[in-house]
Amino acid sequence: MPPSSVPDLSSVARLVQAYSAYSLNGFVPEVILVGGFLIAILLDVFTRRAKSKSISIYFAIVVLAMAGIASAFQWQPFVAGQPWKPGHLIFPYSQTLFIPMVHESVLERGYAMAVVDNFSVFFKLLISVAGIFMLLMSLASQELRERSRRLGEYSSLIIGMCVGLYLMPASLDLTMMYISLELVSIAGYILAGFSRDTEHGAEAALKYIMFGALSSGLMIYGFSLFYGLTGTTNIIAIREVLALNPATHTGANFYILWIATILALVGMGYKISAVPFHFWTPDVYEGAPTPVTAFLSVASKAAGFGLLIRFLIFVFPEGTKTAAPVLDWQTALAIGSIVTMTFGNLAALLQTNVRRILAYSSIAHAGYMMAALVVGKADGTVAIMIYLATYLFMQIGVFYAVMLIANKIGSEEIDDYRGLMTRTPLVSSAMVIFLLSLTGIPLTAGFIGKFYLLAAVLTPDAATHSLPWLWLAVGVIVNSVISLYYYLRVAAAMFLKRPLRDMALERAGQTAPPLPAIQFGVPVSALLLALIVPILVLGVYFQPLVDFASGVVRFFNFDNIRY
Amino acid sequence: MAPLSHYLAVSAILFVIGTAGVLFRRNAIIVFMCVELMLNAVNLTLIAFSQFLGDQTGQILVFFVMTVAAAEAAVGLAIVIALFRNRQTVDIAKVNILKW
Amino acid sequence: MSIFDILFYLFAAAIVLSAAFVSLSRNIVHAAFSLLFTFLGIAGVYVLLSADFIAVSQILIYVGGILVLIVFGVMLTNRVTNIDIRAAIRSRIPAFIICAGLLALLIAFITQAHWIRYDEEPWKKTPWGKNAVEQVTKPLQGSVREVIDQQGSQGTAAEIGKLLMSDYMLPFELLSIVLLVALIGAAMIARQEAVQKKRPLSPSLPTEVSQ
Repeated sequence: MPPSSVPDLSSVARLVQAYSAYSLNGFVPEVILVGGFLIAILLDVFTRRAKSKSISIYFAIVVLAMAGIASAFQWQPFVAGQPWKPGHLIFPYSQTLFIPMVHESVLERGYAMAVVDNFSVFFKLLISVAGIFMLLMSLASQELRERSRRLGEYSSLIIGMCVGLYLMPASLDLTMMYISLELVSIAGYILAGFSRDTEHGAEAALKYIMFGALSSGLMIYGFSLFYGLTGTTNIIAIREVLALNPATHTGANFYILWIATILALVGMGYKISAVPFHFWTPDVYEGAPTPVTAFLSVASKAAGFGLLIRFLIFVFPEGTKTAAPVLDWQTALAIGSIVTMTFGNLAALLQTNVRRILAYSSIAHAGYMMAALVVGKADGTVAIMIYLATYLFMQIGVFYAVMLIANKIGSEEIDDYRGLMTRTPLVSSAMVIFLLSLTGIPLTAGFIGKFYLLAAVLTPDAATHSLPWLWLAVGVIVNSVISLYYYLRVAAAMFLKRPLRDMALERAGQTAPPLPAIQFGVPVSALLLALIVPILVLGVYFQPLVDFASGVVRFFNFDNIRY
Repeated sequence: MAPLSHYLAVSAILFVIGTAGVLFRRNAIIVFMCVELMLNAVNLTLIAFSQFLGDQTGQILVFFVMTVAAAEAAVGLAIVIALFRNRQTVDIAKVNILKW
Repeated sequence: MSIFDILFYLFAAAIVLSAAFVSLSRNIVHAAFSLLFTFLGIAGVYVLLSADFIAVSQILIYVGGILVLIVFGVMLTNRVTNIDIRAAIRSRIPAFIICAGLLALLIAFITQAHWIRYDEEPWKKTPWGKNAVEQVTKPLQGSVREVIDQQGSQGTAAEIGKLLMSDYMLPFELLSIVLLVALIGAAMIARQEAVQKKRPLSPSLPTEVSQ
């Protein structure tokens, strides 16, 4: 290079870019959350009376809304014709991997801790919306009101959990994945045991933490094997070593790679409650306070899927199948998906408690989404994101309705739901809409989710023009039909069946006075409507959501993922 | 110096002992001890890799695993104590109001 | 066989035996003490692997923190004397078969596998390896022990500190949130709620403190 007096501007620019990656740019939502977390703790100290503790929930809503808005600003609009731009990397490596700080490959290839791209922004928005709904739901919860002295801790823990949830789909490094997952898990254990003075609460928390500790131990052992195979913990670097170095995936190493992948998937499968790792789900969903259950079943599952997509598609991308090891994770995942959805649906048929039915149905929904994950690529990822966005409203909605009913009648047994239609028409019809949407009936948002999911699973193979995953699609359809039975069982109890008390009285020859009507306040009903409207609107006008989700995936550049 | 595979074998044995303990013991506190065994096995694997590779990343990961283990143990034991207060037992098999 | 090797095998035997005792012991107090020897044995292996900082952390965190916490847990849940502290093993024979199979599988693959090394050719082919191996790792030629013999141990604390403050800053900061969440949560779950209803025992203590 000839010596020149003019400084090399491109290297200066690169230097600036590299240092800005260390600044808090691109890290604003998380900083808001962390600040809110600390203030919420202080707020708890200063509000002493039990009555004023609910102010911390309002504060948490504000914090989550601000973080959500801040992450919306991170969205990078896609302009046709412009070169593909990687996301904003946070904390690129300078010391490890023997790379000098401003080595160009650091910024180009994505050797960083985390990344702000549209994919992570999508999940951040999803988590914020779920969190806000969940906190609004908490305000109406009888169970939480009885323990209002601890509401300060409750809302600060939710903010803390959101930090982990935000970073899970953004992680590019096994270290980061492990710690953000553990943050979510630990906050989840505590929130599941929030009503620990009841027997169910403490027990749910114990089961949650035991399975959680086991699966995170297995996962980190898998991560350590990845480190031994490739000498790095960055998922993109892992893929490159695997692609460049055949010795890492031939012979005994092939089996080690399998073991490591399966062990890593254990920890993520636990978060999405896929079948061999689902044992905690029914107990925790039944024992935790209802808003926490709703949040765990939506936000925690969404972040788990974000992590899973990031991990599978980055370490074993479709586009580099020739160079990367041909690890047939797709078939393994397809079998897991079928088993998960079938088990979830069959077990739900046997339940009599509505919350347990919903717990098993959420296992089944994880199975459906895993089916789209099998396809990988752009279609599958878009389908999962659409599914998650629709699933958010219906799942939170159905738990909200269950909570409202339990507040008044003090039960979640299906027999106690009989005749609710005459007593509380609003909540009953809302519940039926949520259940129909969960089944995937047309004109509801659930149908759109299922439709795109099936379309992705039925994508013909480009080379052979055959349908490689036809059996998986058949499994999804058959399972949806099975699920119709138990969803409608709940709806039928509310609409068609008469209360057991009336029937008993009638048999005794007495006329039964009708059970008293159940009244709900305006804010409670307004929140219910706020959950119904998106379901009905997305059922017919879904194009914006689809555009949004495909805008996310365009940044993935599936043929050659290089950050 | 002993070869890498010996270090890995020791940690694999430790890991399987820990996993077996978590899966088959009934006392909640013993289960938490066995989780610590599993995490120690992971740490041993990572340190062995890190030293034979001449790369410090593994040691950082060990540092993180240790801290997370401490946090998990604290929360776990708090839950055990809360449950013990309600039920007067730490036997997982007796904790069965919520069926499978 | 050098003295280091003999020490390693001694430590390894101590680790495996005491870990098996933790997992099989019927007495929870004995298990807790056996865990102490596992932790110390592992710290010894870390020293042999020249991971000095981690070895010290192992003793401080595991022995000084986690083990003490577990012993407290044992003491608090054994307060009531009529509870049998003996812990049975659920189903011995299937447990043993599953674990033996798993172990055989793991060891078979782990001992045969080819783990990546800093000086091998494919490693240099990686994007960061190309220009880096000869430049940056020149002082690191040879095995760890050889490096130490040549230049004396520098200790790993400085290197770990640098990494924690640069590349691994984000997980490091996140870890502080994890610890704060665990702290608040553990206090919330374990504290006595009954104080809320009763008057504090000592009139000088306000209610909040006596929680």
